[in-house]
Amino acid sequence: MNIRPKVLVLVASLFVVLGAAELLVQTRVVLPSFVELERADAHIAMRRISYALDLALDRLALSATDWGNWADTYRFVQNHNHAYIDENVTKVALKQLNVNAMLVVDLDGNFVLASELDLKSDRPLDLDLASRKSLPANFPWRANLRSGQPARGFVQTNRGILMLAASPVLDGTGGGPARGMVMMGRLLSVAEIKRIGAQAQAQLSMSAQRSSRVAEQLVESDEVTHVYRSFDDVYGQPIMTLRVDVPRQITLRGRSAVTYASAYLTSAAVVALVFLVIILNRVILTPLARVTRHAVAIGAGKDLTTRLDSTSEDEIGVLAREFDRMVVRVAESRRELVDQSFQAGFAELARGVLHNLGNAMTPIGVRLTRLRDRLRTAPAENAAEALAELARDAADPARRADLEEFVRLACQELALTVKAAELDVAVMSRQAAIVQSSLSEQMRATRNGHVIESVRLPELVAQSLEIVPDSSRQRLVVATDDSLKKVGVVNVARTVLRLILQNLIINAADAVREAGMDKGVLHVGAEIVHEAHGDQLHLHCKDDGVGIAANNLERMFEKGFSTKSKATNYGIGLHWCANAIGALGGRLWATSEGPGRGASMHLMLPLGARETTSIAGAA
Amino acid sequence: MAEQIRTSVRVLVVDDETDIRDAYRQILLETEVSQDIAGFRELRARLFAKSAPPAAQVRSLAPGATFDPVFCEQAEAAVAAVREALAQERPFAVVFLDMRMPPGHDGVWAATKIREIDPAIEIVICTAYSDVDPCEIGALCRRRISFHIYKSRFIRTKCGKWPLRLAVNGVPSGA
Repeated sequence: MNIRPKVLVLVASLFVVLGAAELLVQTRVVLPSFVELERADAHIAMRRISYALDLALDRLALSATDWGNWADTYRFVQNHNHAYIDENVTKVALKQLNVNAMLVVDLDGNFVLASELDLKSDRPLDLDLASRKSLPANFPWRANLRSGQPARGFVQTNRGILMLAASPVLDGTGGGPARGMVMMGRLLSVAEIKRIGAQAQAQLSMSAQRSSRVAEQLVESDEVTHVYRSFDDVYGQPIMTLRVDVPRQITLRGRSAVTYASAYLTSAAVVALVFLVIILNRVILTPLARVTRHAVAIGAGKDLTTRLDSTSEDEIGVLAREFDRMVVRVAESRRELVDQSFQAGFAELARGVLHNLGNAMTPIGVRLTRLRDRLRTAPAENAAEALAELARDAADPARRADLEEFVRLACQELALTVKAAELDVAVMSRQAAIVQSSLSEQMRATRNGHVIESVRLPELVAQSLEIVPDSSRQRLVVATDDSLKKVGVVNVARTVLRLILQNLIINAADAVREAGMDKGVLHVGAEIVHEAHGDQLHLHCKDDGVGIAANNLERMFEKGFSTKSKATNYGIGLHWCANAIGALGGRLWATSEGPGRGASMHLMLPLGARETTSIAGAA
Repeated sequence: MAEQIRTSVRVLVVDDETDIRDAYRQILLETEVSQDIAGFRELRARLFAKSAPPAAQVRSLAPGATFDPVFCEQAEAAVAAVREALAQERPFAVVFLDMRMPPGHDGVWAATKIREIDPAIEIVICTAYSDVDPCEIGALCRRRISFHIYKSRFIRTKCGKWPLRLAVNGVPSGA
């Protein structure tokens, strides 16, 4: 897996984890805290309702206290004077007091006064409590009659729940003893409940009385929190359950706030992720991928000429530049290695050939020397002279006899010479065959492929100049134009091309010298020629030297042809060059406008078609 | 001529190639001049005094001197031959050593061994290989080694003197 998707997955995973953590915090911490806040608010609302009820009872108790601690009431309990009732306990008074029932009870629990009124209709309520003669026997406040303690609470009546407050009947100065109690009651009607709810700023309602007592209970729906609370009557029994409805505004607000926050965080995370990815891509991933692609390409291919050329100052830039330097060093080492192996191969080849030829030629030399001596000392001439002298028949008999003997012996000697010469020739023939065989063997051994290297032509020209003798180099300015750079990288047998270029440069320097000039210019250019059977590299070198006569343009590539003296005849010869380039599938030719007008050498080499051919044919 | 005292120069030739040994043989072994041939030469000289080639042109060998060559194919056999010649009190005057004689030891090894057992012998190393440094071999064998490389050209090194004034037409080159 590439580092780019890895990093992207890692960063994305990090954001997802952070998002999940944020979601977890919201659902487990933030939102529950809103719910808790809302519940607390609901409880507070119910507490406000309780305070409002207490306040309503307080007002009743205040009225009861006011009427109880009044000398007229004190006397009325004792004398039952109806004038008190007629003057004081009127409908108007009840309305002003805002009570539905007013009861005056003596110390025995008997009602001395029982007045009731429906405040809306001004008609009697027919309240069961008021129609009684006395308090129920088990009524809890009976104990308060004599102790003079005030009391308040709820009582269930036939017309509903009655809020009831009692205060002792005193002499008007707060003194006693108490002669009974004044009880004020107000029905807890729907309107009253609404009023209490409004006073407590809560939506209050009375729900059906539950079977069991409910201290305080929360029931939550999606939009409303219901708080239930039971209230006891004066007997301590549950009498009513009030319900406060609190809209879940806090949760809704909280949820929407959290949603907004989440959306913002998500958007911010996405933007940050995108920015991070872009920056990572631009600063790290893309340069790293480029270095990696380059390293892989260098490792897989033969082209050591490409460079990263990074200008960045960060670590990746340093890495890229160091990699470039390493590739340069590898390329140089490789080139030196190829050159050395090429030269070593040449030297080894020459050594081997010379050794074999030397061994074969030695017997030939010896036999030739022997043959030469034999022929030189053979008495052929003397025999002819003797025969001529005998033919003239002028000699004295003794000399004639000697001559005849000499002719006989000379014939024997000549016969021996011919026989020995035949032997010598046979040996020489055999050795010549060995020479031939040795050469053929070497030819076969040299049919090895060239090393094809990726080359930039300006570098190739520079490398060729390195192996040109100083005398030639000093006489020539080698000018390379942009066409060499435009050609770019070509895959060629560099070692062979280098030797050919070396030869062409030396020849150009010689041509300059022969033209009588101290310094000349050699223009080197190149282009890629697109032909039907493939691309060709056209390399041309134009000098301003002595030029070439038209009749020499073809001959100059012939074996042994040279216009130069041996003292200046460096290089390996145009014949070799032509053969070598021919072995690579190319060709070499010359053009010149004539003597004194310089010359151009043209080299055409197919690219990629024949990468591994032999130079054997050129040797 | 028959009355002349003929001295024999003992020569050891060491080379692994048959053709090279044969070339040495051609040079060193003079065909015995028969009585008839000797008479023929005398007759020729008497009849054609002007045109007879001078004897020196034929052979520049010292009058009466001849070679007694012994041929070996390997370095080990050459060392054994030198040791045997010393035991028989018929030492070799000169040894011609090839440089490389596979599969056995090379000429330097043989020269070193021969020098150890015969300080007086002249050693000539003949090789067609140009990568052999004469001075290095001379240092190995202490002194008195001459060199001959291919093309029948004698190289007189500073390491030793040419061992014999061999009035021959050429010394074979080999390796």
